[in-house]
Amino acid sequence: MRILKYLFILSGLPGFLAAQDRPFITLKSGMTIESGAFVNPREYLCHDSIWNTITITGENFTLDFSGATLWGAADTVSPDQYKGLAFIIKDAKNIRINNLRIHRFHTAIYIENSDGIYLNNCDFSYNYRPKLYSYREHEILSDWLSYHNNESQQWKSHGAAIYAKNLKNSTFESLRITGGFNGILLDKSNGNKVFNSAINFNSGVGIGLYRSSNNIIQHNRLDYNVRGVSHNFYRRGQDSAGVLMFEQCNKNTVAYNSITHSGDGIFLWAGQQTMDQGSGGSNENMFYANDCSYAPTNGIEVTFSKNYIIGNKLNKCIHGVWGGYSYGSLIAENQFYDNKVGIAIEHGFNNNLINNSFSNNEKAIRLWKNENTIDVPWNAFNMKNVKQNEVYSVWSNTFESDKIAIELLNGKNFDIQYNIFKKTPQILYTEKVNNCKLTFKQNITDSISEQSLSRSQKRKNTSIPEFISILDEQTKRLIPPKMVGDLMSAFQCIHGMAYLLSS
Amino acid sequence: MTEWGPYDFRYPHIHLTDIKDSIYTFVVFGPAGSEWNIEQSRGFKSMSLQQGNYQDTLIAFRQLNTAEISINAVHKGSFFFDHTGNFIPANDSFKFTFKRLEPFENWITKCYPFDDHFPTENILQGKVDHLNLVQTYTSNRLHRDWWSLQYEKDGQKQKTNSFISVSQGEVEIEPGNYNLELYLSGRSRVYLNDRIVYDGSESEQSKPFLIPVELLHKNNKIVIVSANKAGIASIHCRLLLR
Repeated sequence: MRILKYLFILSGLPGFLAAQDRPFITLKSGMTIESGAFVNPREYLCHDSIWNTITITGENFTLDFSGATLWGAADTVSPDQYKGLAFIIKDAKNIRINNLRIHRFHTAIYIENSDGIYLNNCDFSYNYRPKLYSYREHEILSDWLSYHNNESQQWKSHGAAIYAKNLKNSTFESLRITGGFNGILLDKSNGNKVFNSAINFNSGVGIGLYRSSNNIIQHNRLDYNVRGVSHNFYRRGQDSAGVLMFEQCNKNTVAYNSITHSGDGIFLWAGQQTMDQGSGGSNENMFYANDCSYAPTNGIEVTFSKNYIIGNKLNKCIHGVWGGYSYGSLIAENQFYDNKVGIAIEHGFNNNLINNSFSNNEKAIRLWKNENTIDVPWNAFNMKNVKQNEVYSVWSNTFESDKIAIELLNGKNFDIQYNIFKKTPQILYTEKVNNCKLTFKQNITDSISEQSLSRSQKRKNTSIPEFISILDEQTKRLIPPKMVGDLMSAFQCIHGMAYLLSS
Repeated sequence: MTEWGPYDFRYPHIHLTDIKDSIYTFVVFGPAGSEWNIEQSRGFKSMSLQQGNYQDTLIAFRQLNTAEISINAVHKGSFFFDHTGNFIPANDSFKFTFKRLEPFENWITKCYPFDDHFPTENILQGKVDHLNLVQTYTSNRLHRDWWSLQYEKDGQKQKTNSFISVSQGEVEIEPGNYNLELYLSGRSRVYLNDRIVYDGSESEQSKPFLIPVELLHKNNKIVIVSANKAGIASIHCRLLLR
């Protein structure tokens, strides 16, 4: 045991000795740092004189700022007047930066063309933030954000705690970014990780990705990245978000984060390239076990793309999931409670809504299509994709006390099986589905009536709903409420497993 | 929300939650375990509390003959960081304020479809009698957004992206110095008591802007003429304390 103890101590010795080799430096305006150092942990009042950005470049070293704090403006300056860039990291590889604090700059750190940067235990709070003009009773339209184009690094001018372009294999850990505009913006940056960080109470986006793939965002607090909300007056969000992914962002993982009260919890858009050419998208991203509740707009918004939304909490939003034009997506094992609409998808196809739990939503699932979509700006996407057979699989979900469980408008092919409906006044509401193939079988309910399976109220008396005839005997059978409760968990489990095995 | 983004519940802040008739409900937020007390208030007959703990609800009864309402309070207790990251030590006498201006206002806005030509000087003076009035709105605050002007003609629904709006407001307020906050789309002109105080176009102002004004009388007249072509249009005007 004693030998093990000595071995353990000796194993830390090389690192300790290497640390002793690092010089002790004091930061100076415009300096370039190319080797490891301990930094004088004082407060640097960068606004007292002209302050030029510090450059960090080179390879294989550690910079320990020991709590050094850079202030870019005096406390009398309003946040929309903060200027300047504190640090630029460029052409760098394997550099570790610890214990740095930067406040009241326009952008704290800009990273370019770098690999293996490790930022640990840093605080980049209270940097630039624009003034908001919306007030209690009214929103002002100029407060709306637009992240749709970053081809010329337009995002850079917005200001952020960290803006990174062409960054790869890097890690941001234990960062604190609050009271600012944007947290971390990644542009054409792949294979990075953001974890254990608190990026909250910012007025733009917590973490934003543009043409960035294979990144992992995990175990962060990304709450209250929001604007455009006034209780009892308006809930707009104005395109703020906890996590934003725009333009060809693929195979990212967003898991185990708390993303509550943000404009959208997660906001994904395929991108202009997809709108123009009809191809590509922001695809195969995994959103797993996040809490995206209390979004003033959408818990998760994913459009024109194919993604996996699994095991998330999506409660008390306007839409739990807004999935306009989503295709081939899997929305499974999520919890939807007290939303205006749990899952809302317009013009989607080949989507699988499996094993979700819905309760107390005004509408649990709403799937629809508008008749005329020729004149929309994304017509290229329509032309390439909407010819496909629009199958929706709605399998093994549980619905409890939702006003309407499933609403279908003007679609083509719906496969609704193995669901459980409990205390649901209207199980199925349909409009303009005369030419659609609707499979509705093996579902269980605690009560059933023609009303609960009615078509549009307007058309109810003019034709008998066709799908009543394809209900099988098991579905039509009345099952006492208690039995439904007992069956619910077993049923879900069996069919959830069956699905996973089959896929 | 505050004008600087989401409020983080850490620094002292007076939040107006509800107005019912002349009863105003506030919640005073701030660092847990600390206290606040009111130093001064304006525009209220009485208040339910003069001091309290954070998260307490404060109910105030409005005095209706003043436009300005304000509450000035002092924090007592633990340290905190304010909205700019400034460290405020424990027991520092930190002052925080709620302010709002509520003048008596009456607005009437009239809308006229208008072709794509640049508005003439006559139109910018509000001489629009020759145009076809299709929509009229009345309100006690001027804040309106359009996603194209929609109206009915011969029983048919119509909409147009090009239109003129003329808003005329009577504003009753104590004489003094104020800021006029404006957010206007298109080509616009603003008159205050028949004097031009703004004459410009949207391209010059992409967000709300302030015009300092001196009001010499209690009763004032504001006229805003705005010509829009883009469909999405906004008119917003309010007086703020300077």
